[in-house]
Amino acid sequence: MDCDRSKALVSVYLDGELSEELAAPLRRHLLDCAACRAFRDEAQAMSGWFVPGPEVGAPAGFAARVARRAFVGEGTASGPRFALPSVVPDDLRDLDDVFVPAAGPRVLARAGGAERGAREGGSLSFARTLTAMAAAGLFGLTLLLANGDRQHFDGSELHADGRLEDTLRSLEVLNEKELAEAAAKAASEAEPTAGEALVTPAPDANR
Amino acid sequence: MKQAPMEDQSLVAATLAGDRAAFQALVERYQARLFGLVRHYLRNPVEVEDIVQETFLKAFTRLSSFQQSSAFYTWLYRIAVNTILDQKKRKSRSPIQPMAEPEELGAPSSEAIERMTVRPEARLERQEIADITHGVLAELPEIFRTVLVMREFEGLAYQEIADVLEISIGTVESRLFRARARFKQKLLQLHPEFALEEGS
Repeated sequence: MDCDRSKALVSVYLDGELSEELAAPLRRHLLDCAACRAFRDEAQAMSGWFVPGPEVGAPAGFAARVARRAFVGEGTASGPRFALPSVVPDDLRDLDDVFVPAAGPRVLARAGGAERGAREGGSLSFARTLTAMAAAGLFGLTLLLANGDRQHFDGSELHADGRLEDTLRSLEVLNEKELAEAAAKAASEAEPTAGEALVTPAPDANR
Repeated sequence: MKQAPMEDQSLVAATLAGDRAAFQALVERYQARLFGLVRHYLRNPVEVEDIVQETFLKAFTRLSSFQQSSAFYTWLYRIAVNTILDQKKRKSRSPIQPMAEPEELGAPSSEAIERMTVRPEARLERQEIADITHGVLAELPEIFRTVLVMREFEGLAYQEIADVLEISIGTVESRLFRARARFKQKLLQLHPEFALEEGS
């Protein structure tokens, strides 16, 4: 084994990841090569920089909060179903609001504010229910009004035009009848005068 | 890492069946490790907590896609790393460096640097060493920092690193080699007071 190969394998060897098949010739090379031994020592010394810092524990109640957020809005029998959107706008991400996977709506609850978020979620749910009921009522009212209007504007049920036409025709007939009657009356009133004129000479004839 | 894979799988199955307590148990089991991981990338405790929480919530939503053949923690770790990198990408104005062919960045260490010995002085407190190391890591390209954190702090095996990063073991080896060289170079650059000529 040459030095380049040795140096390439030293860190793998120190990590305990080198197979025995390669580790054996490396060990032999290190016994014979001072430079590579120095390289190995240096590599070992470098590991002194990677010391674990102080233990950073999770905040109290963290797991419970995360589990509650994951399952918020979930029934007891359902599991994870909703996928996070692959792309969330940066402005939303900057607010640290993430989609609550199972709840559908977003809950603006930062870490540590999950309790508040849950309470807000309850009020939100109540308000949503009220809004839905009001919307349903308005929809029904709209349907009723539309149905009422339909009686006037639906062709099959609209009789106003027909009745008006009939009425006008009736009025016209009535007018014609009245005119005819008036004419007949006028004529009948005019006939006796003529008769009188015709009869008048009769006394003269008796004379 | 593979302490109780069957138990993990049982908890995953129970979570999928709607058992909230099972998911909470999974979070409790791995929260400390994730907090430890994320704090290598982010110093702000609030941001760290947000990222850990986001990681678990993402894991929850994708749980049905979890392949039971792999270790749950490896899978969770991958989500965490991606979430961290995504977060850093969002916060950074410039594109994150891992996207640029990391294997072609070249070995940075010159022979002179190789001859230097850089070991923490005995007088340094543990916390001082950790602060220096974090400062150096922060200067490294993400791709190198990630493998160093996984190996040096998290103690992940090469195969586990390969699984998380979805790269070959050979790539893990070479990337670690380059990452260590980069770390040493940056350490000497930022803290030349720790440099010792070999044999001195």
